[in-house]
Amino acid sequence: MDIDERNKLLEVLKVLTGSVMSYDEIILSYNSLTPPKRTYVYSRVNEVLRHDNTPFDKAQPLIVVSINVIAAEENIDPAVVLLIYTNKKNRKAR
Amino acid sequence: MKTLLFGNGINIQFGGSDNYNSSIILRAIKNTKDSDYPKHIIVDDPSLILSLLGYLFLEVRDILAHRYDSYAFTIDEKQSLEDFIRRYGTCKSISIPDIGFEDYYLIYDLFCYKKKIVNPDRYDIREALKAFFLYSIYNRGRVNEIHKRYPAKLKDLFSGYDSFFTTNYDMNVEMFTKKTVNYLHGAFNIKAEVYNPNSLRNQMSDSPLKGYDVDVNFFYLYSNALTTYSGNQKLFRIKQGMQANEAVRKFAYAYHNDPAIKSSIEEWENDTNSLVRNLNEATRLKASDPDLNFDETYPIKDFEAIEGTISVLGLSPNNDTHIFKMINDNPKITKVIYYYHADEEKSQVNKLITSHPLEYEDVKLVWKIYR
Repeated sequence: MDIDERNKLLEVLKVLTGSVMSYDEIILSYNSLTPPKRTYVYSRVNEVLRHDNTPFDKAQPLIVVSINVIAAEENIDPAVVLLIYTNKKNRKAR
Repeated sequence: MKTLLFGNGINIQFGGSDNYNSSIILRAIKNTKDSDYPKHIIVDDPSLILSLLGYLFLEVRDILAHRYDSYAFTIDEKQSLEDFIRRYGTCKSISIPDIGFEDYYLIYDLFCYKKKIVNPDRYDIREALKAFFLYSIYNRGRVNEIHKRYPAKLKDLFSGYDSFFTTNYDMNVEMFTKKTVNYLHGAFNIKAEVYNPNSLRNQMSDSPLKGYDVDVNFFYLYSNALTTYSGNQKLFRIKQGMQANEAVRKFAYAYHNDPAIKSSIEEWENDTNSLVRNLNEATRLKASDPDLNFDETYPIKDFEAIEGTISVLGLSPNNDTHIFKMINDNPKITKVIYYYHADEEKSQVNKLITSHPLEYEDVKLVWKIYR
Protein backbone atom coordinates (compact mmCIF):
# COMPACT_ATOMS: atom_id res chain seq x y z
CA MET A 1 0.00 0.00 0.00
CA ASP A 2 1.49 3.35 -0.98
CA ILE A 3 1.52 6.26 1.40
CA ASP A 4 -1.46 8.05 -0.20
CA GLU A 5 -3.62 4.97 -0.02
CA ARG A 6 -2.49 4.35 3.53
CA ASN A 7 -3.36 7.91 4.51
CA LYS A 8 -6.76 7.66 2.85
CA LEU A 9 -7.53 4.56 4.90
CA LEU A 10 -6.29 6.22 8.08
CA GLU A 11 -8.36 9.32 7.39
CA VAL A 12 -11.47 7.16 7.06
CA LEU A 13 -10.64 5.49 10.38
CA LYS A 14 -10.18 8.90 12.00
CA VAL A 15 -13.47 10.21 10.65
CA LEU A 16 -15.30 7.08 11.77
CA THR A 17 -13.91 7.13 15.31
CA GLY A 18 -13.41 10.85 15.99
CA SER A 19 -9.67 10.33 16.41
CA VAL A 20 -7.33 13.33 16.30
CA MET A 21 -4.13 11.30 16.09
CA SER A 22 -1.70 11.92 13.23
CA TYR A 23 -1.27 9.21 10.56
CA ASP A 24 2.29 8.48 11.62
CA GLU A 25 1.34 8.24 15.30
CA ILE A 26 -1.46 5.80 14.44
CA ILE A 27 0.99 3.55 12.60
CA LEU A 28 3.58 3.86 15.37
CA SER A 29 1.02 3.03 18.01
CA TYR A 30 -0.30 0.07 15.98
CA ASN A 31 3.20 -1.30 15.47
CA SER A 32 4.01 -0.99 19.15
CA LEU A 33 1.21 -3.38 20.13
CA THR A 34 2.00 -7.02 20.62
CA PRO A 35 0.13 -9.57 18.44
CA PRO A 36 -1.79 -10.96 21.46
CA LYS A 37 -2.89 -7.45 22.38
CA ARG A 38 -4.09 -6.83 18.81
CA THR A 39 -5.96 -10.14 18.84
CA TYR A 40 -7.60 -9.22 22.12
CA VAL A 41 -8.64 -5.77 20.85
CA TYR A 42 -9.88 -7.36 17.62
CA SER A 43 -12.08 -9.73 19.60
CA ARG A 44 -13.50 -6.85 21.63
CA VAL A 45 -14.39 -4.86 18.51
CA ASN A 46 -15.80 -7.98 16.87
CA GLU A 47 -18.00 -8.51 19.91
CA VAL A 48 -19.43 -5.01 19.45
CA LEU A 49 -19.94 -5.19 15.70
CA ARG A 50 -21.16 -8.71 15.10
CA HIS A 51 -24.36 -8.31 17.12
CA ASP A 52 -25.27 -5.08 15.43
CA ASN A 53 -27.71 -5.33 12.56
CA THR A 54 -28.91 -1.74 12.76
CA PRO A 55 -28.58 0.41 9.61
CA PHE A 56 -25.18 2.11 9.47
CA ASP A 57 -26.43 5.69 9.95
CA LYS A 58 -28.14 4.71 13.20
CA ALA A 59 -25.42 2.35 14.34
CA GLN A 60 -22.47 4.64 13.63
CA PRO A 61 -22.68 6.94 16.70
CA LEU A 62 -23.20 3.90 18.92
CA ILE A 63 -20.19 2.18 17.35
CA VAL A 64 -18.18 5.37 17.94
CA VAL A 65 -19.04 5.13 21.64
CA SER A 66 -18.18 1.42 21.84
CA ILE A 67 -14.87 1.86 19.98
CA ASN A 68 -13.99 4.79 22.25
CA VAL A 69 -14.78 2.78 25.37
CA ILE A 70 -12.43 0.03 24.15
CA ALA A 71 -9.82 2.66 23.28
CA ALA A 72 -10.01 4.22 26.75
CA GLU A 73 -9.91 0.89 28.53
CA GLU A 74 -7.01 -0.42 26.45
CA ASN A 75 -5.24 2.94 26.53
CA ILE A 76 -4.91 3.21 22.77
CA ASP A 77 -6.30 5.66 20.25
CA PRO A 78 -9.79 4.96 18.80
CA ALA A 79 -8.40 4.98 15.23
CA VAL A 80 -5.82 2.36 16.25
CA VAL A 81 -8.62 0.20 17.63
CA LEU A 82 -10.39 0.29 14.29
CA LEU A 83 -7.15 -0.22 12.36
CA ILE A 84 -6.63 -3.43 14.31
CA TYR A 85 -10.09 -4.56 13.22
CA THR A 86 -9.41 -3.85 9.55
CA ASN A 87 -6.57 -6.35 9.55
CA LYS A 88 -8.02 -9.85 9.54
CA LYS A 89 -4.60 -11.25 10.53
CA ASN A 90 -5.37 -9.95 13.99
CA ARG A 91 -8.35 -12.27 14.29
CA LYS A 92 -6.25 -15.02 15.74
CA ALA A 93 -3.14 -15.03 17.89
CA ARG A 94 -0.06 -16.07 15.97
CA MET B 1 -11.97 34.58 59.37
CA LYS B 2 -10.75 31.57 57.40
CA THR B 3 -12.78 29.99 54.61
CA LEU B 4 -12.12 26.73 52.81
CA LEU B 5 -13.39 26.31 49.26
CA PHE B 6 -12.98 22.76 48.04
CA GLY B 7 -13.76 20.79 44.89
CA ASN B 8 -13.63 17.31 43.40
CA GLY B 9 -9.93 16.92 44.20
CA ILE B 10 -10.81 15.83 47.71
CA ASN B 11 -13.09 13.10 46.33
CA ILE B 12 -10.40 11.93 43.96
CA GLN B 13 -7.86 11.86 46.78
CA PHE B 14 -9.96 9.71 49.12
CA GLY B 15 -12.54 8.19 46.78
CA GLY B 16 -10.05 7.08 44.17
CA SER B 17 -10.40 6.69 40.44
CA ASP B 18 -14.21 6.29 40.61
CA ASN B 19 -14.33 10.07 40.74
CA TYR B 20 -12.11 10.79 37.76
CA ASN B 21 -13.83 12.47 34.85
CA SER B 22 -12.99 9.49 32.62
CA SER B 23 -14.53 7.06 35.14
CA ILE B 24 -17.66 9.18 35.39
CA ILE B 25 -18.11 9.10 31.61
CA LEU B 26 -17.28 5.41 31.18
CA ARG B 27 -19.66 4.55 34.02
CA ALA B 28 -22.37 6.77 32.51
CA ILE B 29 -22.07 4.78 29.27
CA LYS B 30 -22.10 1.39 31.00
CA ASN B 31 -24.95 2.31 33.34
CA THR B 32 -27.30 2.54 30.36
CA LYS B 33 -27.14 -1.27 30.02
CA ASP B 34 -28.33 -1.86 33.60
CA SER B 35 -31.80 -3.36 34.00
CA ASP B 36 -32.69 -0.83 36.69
CA TYR B 37 -31.49 2.22 34.72
CA PRO B 38 -34.00 5.02 35.41
CA LYS B 39 -35.23 5.28 31.81
CA HIS B 40 -38.45 6.87 33.04
CA ILE B 41 -36.44 9.91 34.16
CA ILE B 42 -33.43 10.07 31.86
CA VAL B 43 -34.57 8.77 28.47
CA ASP B 44 -36.98 6.02 27.36
CA ASP B 45 -34.42 4.56 24.97
CA PRO B 46 -30.87 4.85 26.41
CA SER B 47 -29.34 4.19 22.99
CA LEU B 48 -30.48 7.71 22.09
CA ILE B 49 -28.32 9.34 24.74
CA LEU B 50 -25.36 7.16 23.70
CA SER B 51 -25.91 8.18 20.08
CA LEU B 52 -25.90 11.80 21.15
CA LEU B 53 -22.61 11.28 22.98
CA GLY B 54 -21.16 9.63 19.86
CA TYR B 55 -22.35 12.46 17.60
CA LEU B 56 -20.99 15.10 19.98
CA PHE B 57 -17.60 13.43 20.18
CA LEU B 58 -17.39 13.21 16.37
CA GLU B 59 -17.65 17.02 16.30
CA VAL B 60 -14.48 17.45 18.40
CA ARG B 61 -12.25 17.16 15.31
CA ASP B 62 -14.16 19.95 13.60
CA ILE B 63 -14.13 22.09 16.72
CA LEU B 64 -10.36 21.77 17.03
CA ALA B 65 -10.01 22.60 13.33
CA HIS B 66 -11.92 25.87 13.99
CA ARG B 67 -14.84 24.73 11.84
CA TYR B 68 -17.21 25.62 14.69
CA ASP B 69 -15.94 29.15 15.28
CA SER B 70 -18.86 30.65 13.38
CA TYR B 71 -21.35 28.83 15.66
CA ALA B 72 -20.13 30.54 18.84
CA PHE B 73 -22.22 33.68 19.11
CA THR B 74 -22.01 35.04 22.66
CA ILE B 75 -18.82 36.22 24.35
CA ASP B 76 -19.27 33.34 26.75
CA GLU B 77 -19.48 30.78 23.96
CA LYS B 78 -16.52 32.30 22.16
CA GLN B 79 -14.35 32.27 25.29
CA SER B 80 -15.40 28.73 26.19
CA LEU B 81 -14.68 27.55 22.65
CA GLU B 82 -11.27 29.20 22.71
CA ASP B 83 -10.55 27.57 26.07
CA PHE B 84 -11.71 24.19 24.74
CA ILE B 85 -9.33 24.45 21.78
CA ARG B 86 -6.52 25.55 24.10
CA ARG B 87 -7.03 22.55 26.40
CA TYR B 88 -7.58 19.81 23.80
CA GLY B 89 -5.86 21.23 20.73
CA THR B 90 -2.44 19.90 21.67
CA CYS B 91 -3.57 16.39 22.62
CA LYS B 92 -2.07 13.68 20.45
CA SER B 93 -4.96 11.34 21.14
CA ILE B 94 -8.44 11.88 22.55
CA SER B 95 -11.20 9.41 23.29
CA ILE B 96 -14.70 10.07 24.60
CA PRO B 97 -13.82 9.87 28.34
CA ASP B 98 -10.94 12.32 27.90
CA ILE B 99 -13.34 15.20 27.31
CA GLY B 100 -14.49 16.88 30.53
CA PHE B 101 -18.13 15.95 31.02
CA GLU B 102 -19.11 19.60 31.33
CA ASP B 103 -17.40 20.31 28.01
CA TYR B 104 -19.98 18.09 26.32
CA TYR B 105 -22.54 20.80 27.07
CA LEU B 106 -20.48 23.27 25.05
CA ILE B 107 -20.23 20.82 22.14
CA TYR B 108 -23.97 20.25 22.50
CA ASP B 109 -24.82 23.96 22.39
CA LEU B 110 -22.66 24.53 19.31
CA PHE B 111 -24.07 21.38 17.69
CA CYS B 112 -27.60 22.70 18.31
CA TYR B 113 -26.75 25.93 16.52
CA LYS B 114 -25.27 24.02 13.61
CA LYS B 115 -28.16 21.55 13.32
CA LYS B 116 -30.79 24.19 14.15
CA ILE B 117 -32.08 22.27 17.17
CA VAL B 118 -34.25 24.67 19.16
CA ASN B 119 -36.33 24.65 22.34
CA PRO B 120 -38.15 22.76 23.72
CA ASP B 121 -36.18 19.85 22.17
CA ARG B 122 -32.86 21.55 22.85
CA TYR B 123 -33.74 21.98 26.54
CA ASP B 124 -35.21 18.49 26.96
CA ILE B 125 -32.22 16.74 25.38
CA ARG B 126 -29.85 18.81 27.50
CA GLU B 127 -31.70 17.79 30.66
CA ALA B 128 -31.39 14.13 29.61
CA LEU B 129 -27.65 14.61 29.09
CA LYS B 130 -27.39 16.21 32.53
CA ALA B 131 -29.27 13.33 34.20
CA PHE B 132 -27.08 10.83 32.29
CA PHE B 133 -24.00 12.36 33.94
CA LEU B 134 -25.54 13.01 37.37
CA TYR B 135 -26.67 9.40 37.63
CA SER B 136 -23.07 8.36 37.07
CA ILE B 137 -21.58 10.89 39.49
CA TYR B 138 -24.00 9.81 42.23
CA ASN B 139 -22.80 6.26 41.54
CA ARG B 140 -25.67 4.59 43.43
CA GLY B 141 -24.85 6.64 46.52
CA ARG B 142 -21.19 5.63 46.69
CA VAL B 143 -20.17 9.25 46.18
CA ASN B 144 -21.64 10.07 49.62
CA GLU B 145 -19.65 7.32 51.32
CA ILE B 146 -16.19 8.62 50.54
CA HIS B 147 -15.93 10.23 54.00
CA LYS B 148 -15.73 6.74 55.48
CA ARG B 149 -12.25 6.58 53.94
CA TYR B 150 -11.12 9.92 55.34
CA PRO B 151 -8.32 9.47 57.88
CA ALA B 152 -9.37 10.66 61.36
CA LYS B 153 -6.62 13.28 61.40
CA LEU B 154 -8.21 15.00 58.41
CA LYS B 155 -10.40 16.64 61.06
CA ASP B 156 -7.33 18.71 61.98
CA LEU B 157 -7.32 20.19 58.49
CA PHE B 158 -10.99 21.17 58.62
CA SER B 159 -10.73 22.48 62.19
CA GLY B 160 -8.55 25.30 60.90
CA TYR B 161 -11.45 26.93 59.05
CA ASP B 162 -14.51 28.91 60.11
CA SER B 163 -16.65 28.32 57.02
CA PHE B 164 -16.86 25.89 54.12
CA PHE B 165 -17.91 26.23 50.50
CA THR B 166 -17.79 23.56 47.83
CA THR B 167 -18.52 22.98 44.17
CA ASN B 168 -19.16 19.29 44.94
CA TYR B 169 -22.71 17.94 45.11
CA ASP B 170 -21.97 15.29 47.76
CA MET B 171 -22.16 15.65 51.54
CA ASN B 172 -18.93 13.94 52.61
CA VAL B 173 -17.28 16.87 54.37
CA GLU B 174 -20.52 17.83 56.09
CA MET B 175 -20.99 14.27 57.36
CA PHE B 176 -17.36 14.02 58.42
CA THR B 177 -17.03 17.37 60.19
CA LYS B 178 -20.67 17.80 61.32
CA LYS B 179 -20.25 21.40 60.20
CA THR B 180 -22.36 23.30 57.70
CA VAL B 181 -21.09 23.23 54.13
CA ASN B 182 -22.37 25.68 51.52
CA TYR B 183 -23.01 24.08 48.14
CA LEU B 184 -22.18 26.71 45.53
CA HIS B 185 -23.20 24.49 42.64
CA GLY B 186 -26.06 22.77 44.41
CA ALA B 187 -26.22 19.41 46.13
CA PHE B 188 -27.78 16.03 45.46
CA ASN B 189 -30.09 16.45 48.43
CA ILE B 190 -31.37 19.93 47.49
CA LYS B 191 -34.30 19.93 45.10
CA ALA B 192 -34.17 22.16 42.02
CA GLU B 193 -36.78 24.89 42.17
CA VAL B 194 -38.73 23.44 39.31
CA TYR B 195 -39.47 20.33 41.42
CA ASN B 196 -40.44 22.20 44.60
CA PRO B 197 -44.26 22.29 44.71
CA ASN B 198 -44.22 25.20 47.17
CA SER B 199 -42.14 27.59 45.11
CA LEU B 200 -43.72 30.64 43.54
CA ARG B 201 -43.00 29.17 40.10
CA ASN B 202 -45.17 26.16 40.84
CA GLN B 203 -48.07 28.28 42.12
CA MET B 204 -48.45 29.69 38.62
CA SER B 205 -51.00 28.30 36.18
CA ASP B 206 -48.31 26.95 33.82
CA SER B 207 -46.45 25.21 36.65
CA PRO B 208 -43.80 22.98 35.03
CA LEU B 209 -44.49 20.40 37.73
CA LYS B 210 -48.12 19.98 36.69
CA GLY B 211 -48.79 16.36 35.74
CA TYR B 212 -45.19 15.39 36.48
CA ASP B 213 -44.46 12.54 38.89
CA VAL B 214 -41.28 12.84 40.88
CA ASP B 215 -39.72 9.44 41.66
CA VAL B 216 -38.24 10.01 45.12
CA ASN B 217 -35.98 6.98 44.74
CA PHE B 218 -33.93 9.06 42.34
CA PHE B 219 -34.12 12.34 44.28
CA TYR B 220 -30.63 13.33 43.17
CA LEU B 221 -31.75 13.51 39.54
CA TYR B 222 -34.17 16.29 40.56
CA SER B 223 -31.50 18.17 42.49
CA ASN B 224 -30.22 21.68 41.95
CA ALA B 225 -26.78 20.33 40.94
CA LEU B 226 -25.40 22.73 38.34
CA THR B 227 -23.53 21.28 35.41
CA THR B 228 -22.47 23.41 32.49
CA TYR B 229 -19.30 24.40 30.67
CA SER B 230 -19.30 28.08 31.40
CA GLY B 231 -18.72 29.87 34.66
CA ASN B 232 -20.97 32.72 33.59
CA GLN B 233 -23.82 30.34 32.79
CA LYS B 234 -23.42 28.81 36.24
CA LEU B 235 -23.43 32.25 37.81
CA PHE B 236 -26.56 33.18 35.89
CA ARG B 237 -28.35 30.08 37.21
CA ILE B 238 -27.01 30.66 40.74
CA LYS B 239 -28.36 34.23 40.81
CA GLN B 240 -31.59 33.50 38.93
CA GLY B 241 -33.77 32.92 42.02
CA MET B 242 -32.36 35.92 43.85
CA GLN B 243 -32.84 38.24 40.87
CA ALA B 244 -36.33 36.93 40.11
CA ASN B 245 -37.35 37.53 43.72
CA GLU B 246 -35.95 41.04 43.66
CA ALA B 247 -37.80 41.87 40.44
CA VAL B 248 -41.14 40.38 41.53
CA ARG B 249 -40.88 42.07 44.95
CA LYS B 250 -40.47 45.44 43.22
CA PHE B 251 -43.35 44.74 40.83
CA ALA B 252 -45.58 43.69 43.73
CA TYR B 253 -44.67 46.84 45.66
CA ALA B 254 -45.53 49.01 42.65
CA TYR B 255 -48.73 47.00 42.07
CA HIS B 256 -49.82 47.89 45.60
CA ASN B 257 -48.70 51.51 45.61
CA ASP B 258 -48.95 52.91 42.08
CA PRO B 259 -52.38 52.75 40.39
CA ALA B 260 -50.92 53.45 36.92
CA ILE B 261 -48.48 50.53 37.21
CA LYS B 262 -51.23 48.35 38.66
CA SER B 263 -53.39 49.06 35.65
CA SER B 264 -50.51 48.25 33.25
CA ILE B 265 -49.75 44.98 35.04
CA GLU B 266 -53.42 44.00 34.86
CA GLU B 267 -53.39 44.58 31.11
CA TRP B 268 -50.63 41.99 30.77
CA GLU B 269 -53.00 39.21 31.83
CA ASN B 270 -54.08 38.57 28.24
CA ASP B 271 -50.85 39.53 26.50
CA THR B 272 -49.83 37.36 23.56
CA ASN B 273 -46.35 36.92 25.03
CA SER B 274 -46.29 34.15 27.65
CA LEU B 275 -43.41 35.79 29.54
CA VAL B 276 -45.44 38.96 30.00
CA ARG B 277 -48.51 36.94 31.10
CA ASN B 278 -46.30 35.10 33.60
CA LEU B 279 -44.97 38.37 34.98
CA ASN B 280 -48.55 39.50 35.52
CA GLU B 281 -49.41 36.29 37.36
CA ALA B 282 -46.21 36.22 39.45
CA THR B 283 -46.73 39.84 40.49
CA ARG B 284 -50.33 39.26 41.54
CA LEU B 285 -49.39 36.09 43.45
CA LYS B 286 -46.59 37.92 45.24
CA ALA B 287 -48.84 40.92 45.97
CA SER B 288 -51.42 38.66 47.59
CA ASP B 289 -48.88 36.57 49.51
CA PRO B 290 -45.57 38.37 50.21
CA ASP B 291 -44.06 35.17 51.64
CA LEU B 292 -44.20 33.45 48.26
CA ASN B 293 -40.76 33.32 46.68
CA PHE B 294 -38.73 31.71 43.97
CA ASP B 295 -36.28 29.33 45.62
CA GLU B 296 -32.81 30.67 46.29
CA THR B 297 -30.99 27.39 46.71
CA TYR B 298 -27.45 28.55 46.02
CA PRO B 299 -25.54 30.28 48.87
CA ILE B 300 -24.31 33.10 46.68
CA LYS B 301 -24.95 35.88 49.19
CA ASP B 302 -22.94 34.00 51.84
CA PHE B 303 -20.11 33.50 49.40
CA GLU B 304 -20.05 37.16 48.42
CA ALA B 305 -19.95 38.09 52.13
CA ILE B 306 -16.84 36.10 53.07
CA GLU B 307 -13.89 37.99 54.44
CA GLY B 308 -10.31 37.27 55.46
CA THR B 309 -8.34 34.38 54.01
CA ILE B 310 -9.77 31.89 51.56
CA SER B 311 -8.02 28.61 50.78
CA VAL B 312 -8.88 26.81 47.55
CA LEU B 313 -8.32 23.07 47.67
CA GLY B 314 -8.99 20.42 45.02
CA LEU B 315 -10.65 22.86 42.66
CA SER B 316 -9.35 23.55 39.18
CA PRO B 317 -10.30 26.82 37.48
CA ASN B 318 -11.53 25.03 34.32
CA ASN B 319 -15.28 25.62 33.86
CA ASP B 320 -15.39 27.51 37.19
CA THR B 321 -13.79 30.86 36.43
CA HIS B 322 -16.89 32.60 37.84
CA ILE B 323 -15.88 31.51 41.35
CA PHE B 324 -12.39 32.91 40.95
CA LYS B 325 -13.89 36.14 39.59
CA MET B 326 -16.14 36.44 42.66
CA ILE B 327 -13.13 35.91 44.92
CA ASN B 328 -11.15 38.48 42.98
CA ASP B 329 -13.98 41.01 43.11
CA ASN B 330 -14.55 40.64 46.87
CA PRO B 331 -12.68 43.51 48.60
CA LYS B 332 -13.15 41.90 52.03
CA ILE B 333 -10.85 39.01 51.11
CA THR B 334 -7.32 39.68 52.32
CA LYS B 335 -5.45 36.62 51.04
CA VAL B 336 -5.96 33.66 48.70
CA ILE B 337 -4.13 30.38 49.21
CA TYR B 338 -4.38 28.11 46.17
CA TYR B 339 -3.47 24.45 46.54
CA TYR B 340 -2.18 23.42 43.12
CA HIS B 341 -1.89 19.94 41.72
CA ALA B 342 0.01 20.78 38.54
CA ASP B 343 2.29 23.74 37.89
CA GLU B 344 0.27 24.79 34.81
CA GLU B 345 -2.61 25.75 37.11
CA LYS B 346 -0.55 28.60 38.53
CA SER B 347 -0.45 30.62 35.31
CA GLN B 348 -4.23 30.25 34.97
CA VAL B 349 -4.87 31.27 38.59
CA ASN B 350 -2.42 34.17 38.28
CA LYS B 351 -4.66 35.62 35.57
CA LEU B 352 -7.82 35.12 37.60
CA ILE B 353 -6.68 36.41 41.00
CA THR B 354 -5.13 39.81 40.57
CA SER B 355 -6.65 41.84 43.44
CA HIS B 356 -5.43 39.89 46.46
CA PRO B 357 -2.14 38.52 47.76
CA LEU B 358 -1.89 35.02 46.32
CA GLU B 359 0.05 32.11 47.80
CA TYR B 360 0.57 28.68 46.31
CA GLU B 361 0.86 25.44 48.22
CA ASP B 362 1.50 22.01 46.73
CA VAL B 363 -1.64 19.96 47.35
CA LYS B 364 0.38 16.73 47.19
CA LEU B 365 2.20 17.80 50.35
CA VAL B 366 -1.13 18.34 52.10
CA TRP B 367 -2.36 14.88 51.13
CA LYS B 368 0.95 13.43 52.36
CA ILE B 369 0.22 14.84 55.81
CA TYR B 370 -3.38 13.59 55.87
CA ARG B 371 -2.90 10.10 54.45
